[in-house]
Amino acid sequence: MAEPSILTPAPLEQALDLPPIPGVAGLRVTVAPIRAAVGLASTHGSAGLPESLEGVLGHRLDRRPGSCQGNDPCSIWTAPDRWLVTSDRVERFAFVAGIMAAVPRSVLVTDVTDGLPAIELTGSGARALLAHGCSVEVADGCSARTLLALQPVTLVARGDRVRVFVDRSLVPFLWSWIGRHVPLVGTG
Amino acid sequence: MSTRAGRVAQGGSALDRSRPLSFTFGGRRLKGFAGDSLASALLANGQAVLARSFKYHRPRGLWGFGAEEPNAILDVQYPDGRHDPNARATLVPLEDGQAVKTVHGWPSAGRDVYGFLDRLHPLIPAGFYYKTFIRPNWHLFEPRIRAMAGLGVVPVEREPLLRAQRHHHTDVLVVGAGPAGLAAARAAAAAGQRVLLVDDQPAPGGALLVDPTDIDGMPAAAWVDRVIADLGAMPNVTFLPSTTAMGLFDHGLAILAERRPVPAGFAPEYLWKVRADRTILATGAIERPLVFPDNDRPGVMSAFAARAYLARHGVRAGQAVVVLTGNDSGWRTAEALALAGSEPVIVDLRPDVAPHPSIPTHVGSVVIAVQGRVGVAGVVVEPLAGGPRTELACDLVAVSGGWTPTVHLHMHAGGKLRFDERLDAFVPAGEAGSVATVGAANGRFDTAGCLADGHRAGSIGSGSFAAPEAEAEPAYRQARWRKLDRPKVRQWVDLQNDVTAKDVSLARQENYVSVEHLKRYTTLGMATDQGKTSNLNGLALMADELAVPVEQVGTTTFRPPFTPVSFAAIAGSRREALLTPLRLLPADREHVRVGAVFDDYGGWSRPAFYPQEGEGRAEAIAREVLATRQGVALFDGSPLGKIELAGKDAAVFLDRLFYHSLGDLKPGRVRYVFMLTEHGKLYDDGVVSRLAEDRFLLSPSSSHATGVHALVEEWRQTGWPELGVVASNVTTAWATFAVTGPKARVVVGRLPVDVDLSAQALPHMGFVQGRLGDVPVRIARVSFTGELSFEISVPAGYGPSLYRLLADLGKEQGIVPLGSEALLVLRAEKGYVLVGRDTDGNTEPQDLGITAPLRKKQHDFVGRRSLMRPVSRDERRLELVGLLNTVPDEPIPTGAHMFERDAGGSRRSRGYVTSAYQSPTLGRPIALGIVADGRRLQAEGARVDLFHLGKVYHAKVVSPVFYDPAGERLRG
Repeated sequence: MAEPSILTPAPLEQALDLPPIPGVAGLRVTVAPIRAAVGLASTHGSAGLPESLEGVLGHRLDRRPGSCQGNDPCSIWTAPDRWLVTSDRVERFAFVAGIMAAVPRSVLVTDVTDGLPAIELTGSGARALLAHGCSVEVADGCSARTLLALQPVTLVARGDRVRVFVDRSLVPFLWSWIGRHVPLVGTG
Repeated sequence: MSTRAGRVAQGGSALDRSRPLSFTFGGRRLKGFAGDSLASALLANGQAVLARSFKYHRPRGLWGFGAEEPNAILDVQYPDGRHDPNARATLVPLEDGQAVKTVHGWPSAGRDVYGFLDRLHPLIPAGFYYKTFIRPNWHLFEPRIRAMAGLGVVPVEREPLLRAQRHHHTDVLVVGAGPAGLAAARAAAAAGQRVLLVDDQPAPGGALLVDPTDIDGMPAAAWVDRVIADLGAMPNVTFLPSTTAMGLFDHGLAILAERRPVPAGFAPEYLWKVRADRTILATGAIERPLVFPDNDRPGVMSAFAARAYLARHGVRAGQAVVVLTGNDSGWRTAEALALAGSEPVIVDLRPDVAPHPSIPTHVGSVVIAVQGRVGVAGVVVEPLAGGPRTELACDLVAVSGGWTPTVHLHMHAGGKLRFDERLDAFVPAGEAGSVATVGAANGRFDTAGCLADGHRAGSIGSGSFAAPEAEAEPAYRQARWRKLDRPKVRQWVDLQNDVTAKDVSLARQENYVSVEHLKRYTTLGMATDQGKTSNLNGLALMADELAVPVEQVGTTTFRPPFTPVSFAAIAGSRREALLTPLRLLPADREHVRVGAVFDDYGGWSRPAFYPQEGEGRAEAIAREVLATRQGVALFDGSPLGKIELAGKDAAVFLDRLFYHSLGDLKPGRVRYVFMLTEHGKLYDDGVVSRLAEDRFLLSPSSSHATGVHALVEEWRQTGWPELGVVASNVTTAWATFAVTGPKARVVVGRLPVDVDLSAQALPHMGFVQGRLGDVPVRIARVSFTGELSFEISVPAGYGPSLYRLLADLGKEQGIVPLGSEALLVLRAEKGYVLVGRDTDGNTEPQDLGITAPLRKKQHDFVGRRSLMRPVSRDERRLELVGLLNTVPDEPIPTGAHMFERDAGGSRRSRGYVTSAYQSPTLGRPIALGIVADGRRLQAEGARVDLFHLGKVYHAKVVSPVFYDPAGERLRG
């Protein structure tokens, strides 16, 4: 095994030169501090998968559309036989390896931590902001695959916090869109 | 008390007289007040002529009060830079600093040089343009005719403000905050429903603001205030004034346009996309004109509008007023204007009504002439039963021809209509799915009926309280009137489109009797008002012409939008940088740091080249090419597709999906592959790596990554759902850098990875996974430059760090950053195609010389059957070749066509040049092209002529591989 820390990860704001978005009453916009995001893809009903991860995640994967299980790690239903598992506190590569070791061989496990970051909207104005570019009202504790500013996103709502998971390459665009629309929050 | 038309000293419930506003009209400075509409302010300032008519250029003035206004379409510029060239004056709130001008007539509507056309009217009836200008070509005449017709000119200046849009979900959408709408909203809200109530006027109340009555024992205004206060206290209710419902669409979607101030940078115009479980339309009714001679003169106005301007804006539309009516509504106008100091006279079509007790009344009479051209000077009244005519001097003719329920939104929702003889109007025939229509829009013209109708529609279950009540009113009675039987005079049916009763007769004579043909032949009901005031009169006249009931004639289709909405509002914030995403590379800032010049490559912002000081584009590209051929270069290939595939049937799946075989690919090896469409056409080329027996990594081209993934999913889910295989697109989860050039191994050899990168362990088209420190790394020996190459991938967050590391490790070897433009040259020198550029939509694998898979594969694959067709073996197919110019200093341009002469001597294309570059490696221009029977021409070393932009070029057909045809360099 080679020495660690030869490479260092670049914070998203720095790597993509995202300017701070000034907060307004009821809304703060940040990059979500997600340390690991793992895609799980299975097929034909995912036999054995939900149970296999109970020891790693502390909960079973929920097959209900739009469901989110667990606080951290959190497993988000994204499509039939597909989940996104995220955590703000684990050690990324070990977490991915743990999941890979636990699931049946037929399951495709992908480390999408860098490919699917999330923009975090915090405050009572989070949903009002989303309403300016998204047709879906995501219920508390639920997730939704939808479009924001016509770009594909996954929304996860927890209380007054909404995480907008989006393809890394689209972050600058959405960041810019959000920054442009933040002043509308609070105007009804 | 004032004795002039204009602003009265008191009154006007919408006005804030403490806030005077200033605006210009045709350059003249005028005054108004906050709460004025542009229409009321112009009326208060005595501006009679606001437009010229579409065809005959007759002076036109204000007719209506709301969305139905057919004439007063104006060009409005705002101090904040907005510019609306087709603003409906009745719907535009007056703002300080507005610059307003007319849009019809030249130089203005007031003085229009085309006014002479009115005198030529016998020569230009309906259908004139169709018949006269069809030869030689309508398009020769169209621009001039359209310019003369008027309407606003789209501004060329940049729109500075964004438009906001928002989505909203609700249980009940109530459109219209008149008595029916308020009753419906209150009942629905009390039942716990989420309610969105909208009205196109700035204040709720609808007709109650103009025609007050008592409701639940209190004055209407107090009742409206109480209901609004009740609704305001409910968290489940949202009320949007100044909001027009533009259209209803499938699945309960309603589009609303709201006019209100919003934060800096946005125009005061919100577009709402509302999804409602139920929609209640309380859209009221529109007062329709009566058809009589010269009924289009400025000063002929809707009777309701006349009393609405008085009640809401304190504007008296006339001093000496003739009210021409066929119902009691007109009488209310006469009474209101009399109270405000005007001197009205009533002319009532109904023969059996008693004269008004205090206002002179001509019973059973009609106006047969209107005097004056740019304003009303008087009228001639004649009893319908015959008798002496009376001339009356007046400055306003207020007309009430009855009420037409506003059923546009009902029809957007797919609703049907029935004709109500008593009302002489079409009304909704029941509900339209989840859309109910109530109140005047449903043919209930009394306040009590509107309240009951709205309350019933809004109630869920038994309801928690009784419906609001109003005192009973006399039953609505409308005189049936079509037109005056005077064939020689012009009586206007459609003010916006200049359609007369004679035009309707002419349409019938020419057999355009279908309502849709009538509309197209005469233009009745077209344009921006969509027949709001004209439709019913036109249909009724056609019914009379045909001697059939109006219902039998039917109606045309009302389409969204109900009133025009600007393209800017529809676009919202989707413009400029927010129109389409430009994707950034993981190491974007690193490229910025080393001075890259960026360009858009398939939606990715990528370095085109890296100029050094004093270098131009061509010099930089040439230097990067030569550095790659002679030393080593570093290319950011992160957008290259990365689709992971797993499952016990993964190999079977890929064998069916791709043109090339993959089942026999060994783990740790890579294969170049084609993906075809079902039609056998080349969709993409890329490489596939086998990570394990049941694991693959597909690397389609950058621009096709999403498309290939979509096809993978389509075939996986619908083609062969029985196969145990899953796929994920992880393109942007990884950063990929190619170290390429004869010195690449030296640089990559310094990488502290835990895998063997020697030529034996990792040969050309080999693949290995390992770790770089604690970071996962994937290394593939594939090349798009023709040189020894290593494609190194790490998780995208580590991309900038790896880029810096590779640049550092390569310093000793003089590593240079390689841009996309130099890469394009390198691959062309090597004869590597770029799908979509060196191929067209008809290219098949054999056109590129790849035929083995079709011959060897024993099973079906996507596109196979199509490749069996005779056309795939046609010798005239366009095949890839190389081209070298045979005349020095005359490089062949991209797009040049190889041509041949047919029997008649005409030039015919035989293919074209797809890529052409100056090759720094070869020191001469090179080109790739696809030409008919290309391989035979190549074998013959044919000399051909190519044509481009008037010039003929001479070339020799050669192999498309200009550099290292044996492929020795990339195997090093």
